[in-house]
Amino acid sequence: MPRDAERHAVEEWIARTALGDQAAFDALYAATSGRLYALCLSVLRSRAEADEALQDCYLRVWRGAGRYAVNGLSPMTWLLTIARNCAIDRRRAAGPALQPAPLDDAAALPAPGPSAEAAMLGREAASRLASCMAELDPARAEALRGVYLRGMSYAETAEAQGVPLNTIRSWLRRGLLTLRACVNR
Amino acid sequence: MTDRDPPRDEDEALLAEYALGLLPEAEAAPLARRIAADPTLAARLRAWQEDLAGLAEGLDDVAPPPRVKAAIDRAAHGAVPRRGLLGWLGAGVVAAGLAGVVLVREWPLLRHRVALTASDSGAVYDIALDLRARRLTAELREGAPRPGRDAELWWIAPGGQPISLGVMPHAGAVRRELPDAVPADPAAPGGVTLALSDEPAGGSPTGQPTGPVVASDTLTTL
Repeated sequence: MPRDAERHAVEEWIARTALGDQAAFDALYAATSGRLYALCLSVLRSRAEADEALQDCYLRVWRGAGRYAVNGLSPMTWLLTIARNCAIDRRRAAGPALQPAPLDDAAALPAPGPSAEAAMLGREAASRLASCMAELDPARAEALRGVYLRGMSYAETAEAQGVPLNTIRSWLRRGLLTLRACVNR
Repeated sequence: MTDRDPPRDEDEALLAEYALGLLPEAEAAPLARRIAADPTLAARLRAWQEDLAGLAEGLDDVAPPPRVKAAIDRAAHGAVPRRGLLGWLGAGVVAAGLAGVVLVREWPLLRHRVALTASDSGAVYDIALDLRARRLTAELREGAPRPGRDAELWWIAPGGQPISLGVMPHAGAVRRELPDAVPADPAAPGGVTLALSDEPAGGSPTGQPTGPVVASDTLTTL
C-alpha cells in the first residue's frame, strides 16, 4: 500500500536522523515541512513568526529523533504535535499582541514536492474524525478547530463568545467527550 | 462543573485538554506526572494526539522560505560541510529504498554493534565489531539470503575503498578476524559506513562490491 510505504519512509528518515544522517533529515524536511509550516501559519498568522516556530520545531526534531521510536505515535502525528507545540509556545510568549488576524501575506506558495501528509496521516483516521466533527454542533466544532488550528486558549474562546471561562470549559469538555465516544464507535 | 462525570470521563477530558494545551500549569503538571507513571493514561493521551492531528488534514501545504532550512542547518550542524553518503553507496541506498538501520547501540569506542536488514531478502543480521580484539561476529537473526546469492559486508571509511568483511552466514553465527586493512585506530570508526551488498554465491569475485547495496548503517562514537 502506498500509504504504508510512505509512512515507513518517514519512519526510516526519523530513525536515520537520530543517528545524525543529515541527508535523511533533509529528506524528512522536504517531505513534511509544507504541512508543518501550514500549521504554524495557521496558529501564528504571521510569516515571520511561523518561520521562527518552524526553525524551533525542526531543531527539536533533529535533537529529539532518538526518542521517536519509544513514544508510540505515528510519524506525522509526532511531527505535527512538535510543530503545534512550537507554534503555541511562540504565540503564548508573544502575548496579547498576537491576536487571531488575517495572514499578513495572503499568497501561499506551492509546496516543494508532493505532500506526504495526506497519505501518511491515515485517510481512514482523518475521515472518521471528520465525520465525528460533523456530528458535533457547529459552534462547538468551530471552537475546537479554533483551539487546535489557531491555538486559542479557554480565555480567548470565552472572550470571543462573551461567556464566562468556566462555561466555555464545561461546554468544550462535553464536546471532547462526545468526540471521543464517536471516534471509539 | 464536572461533578457528574465518572472518573474515566474526567480523565478523558483532562487528557484532551492536555493534548490541546488548554490546561493551566497547576493542572498540567500533576497530570503529566500521572501520565508518566501510568501506561494506560499515556496510551489514551496518544489516542487524543493521533485523533486531534486529523484536524490538520484540511490545511494546504505552504512552502517555507529556503532561509528557514539554512538557519536550521546552521543551528543543527554548524559550519561543518554536509557529508552525504558516498557516491556508489549513495546511489545504491537510494535504489535499495533505504533498507537497514534498526538500531545502533553505542559501545565504548572499540566495540560496535549494528543490526542490518537486507532489503532484497529481508534477512536480519546482527553484527558485532571488536576493534581491539580484531574480531567480527555476524549472526543471522531472522530470514535467509536469496537462493544462489550472498550478502557481503563492507567497511567503508570516508574517502576510502570498501574493505570486505566477508559474506554473511546462512545460519547461526560466524566469527572471523578483521582484515589488516581495517584500522586499529579507535578514532577511525567515526563516520565509517557498514554496508551489505547483494553478490553471487561466495561473494564478490572482484574484491570490490559488484551488486547493489541492500543495507547500510553508520558507525558512530559518542
